[in-house]
Amino acid sequence: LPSDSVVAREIDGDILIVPIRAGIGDAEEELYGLNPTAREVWNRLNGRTPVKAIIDELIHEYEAPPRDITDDVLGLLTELLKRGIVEEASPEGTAGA
Amino acid sequence: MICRPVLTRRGHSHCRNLSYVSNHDNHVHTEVVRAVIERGAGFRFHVSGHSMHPFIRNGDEVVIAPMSSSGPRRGDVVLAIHPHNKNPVVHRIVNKQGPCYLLQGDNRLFADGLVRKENILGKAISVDRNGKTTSMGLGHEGLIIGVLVRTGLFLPLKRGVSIILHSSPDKSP
Repeated sequence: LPSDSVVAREIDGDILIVPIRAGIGDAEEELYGLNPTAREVWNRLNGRTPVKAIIDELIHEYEAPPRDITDDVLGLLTELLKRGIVEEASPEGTAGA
Repeated sequence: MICRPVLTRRGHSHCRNLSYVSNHDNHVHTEVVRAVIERGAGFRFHVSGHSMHPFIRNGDEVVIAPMSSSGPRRGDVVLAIHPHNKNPVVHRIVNKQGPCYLLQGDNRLFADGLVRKENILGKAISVDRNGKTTSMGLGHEGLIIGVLVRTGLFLPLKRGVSIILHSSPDKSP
């Protein structure tokens, strides 16, 4: 699920994300953008829906090879995790409650 | 065909490394700044332009902090929504008129106009330039600077100081 320490806003179809580090959002060092496809993943991150369910939804919704969608979603989430933009939710899904 | 999801780093110093070219330029998005400030956090970004010279210069990084509980004061350098073009601007409050604040760049002859408190996003607290941090012109001295700017005395004074500082001693007899 999205980390509590990031601010995200949708601007002209993209999601702009600013992590707050040491009390400062640094637009020079860490201002991230998600394109509309990544936004489809981001908007499904709620701490309750498993990643597999998100991938299944996207496979159902988009005409692309399931393998490609799976790889892309996992790749994106790995990148977001690495940068502290998302966190792993607890198995019970209570982290976002 | 689905377009690949892409995470893009937008910071000024990183945009050339992107594999994905964004439609956005990297200007400050008011909504993003407002959201960060509402979290009680500061916001650091590059400024462009010369309207606040010499205290804030083209290319400086400015840190904007949430306003204190007492609200904006005369002399504060603030990030606000420009009353006419609606772009975010870092200028000084040079006067207060009723519920509104008069904004003006230190290096400008004329004021921007009046802005309401809700359009003042935060206060500049420090400036990073060439790896050094300064807050000159952003503290209590701002009140005096604001008076000089509003009365039109700041620019001639600045010019005079500049002439003195740049006059070469070699030219003296």
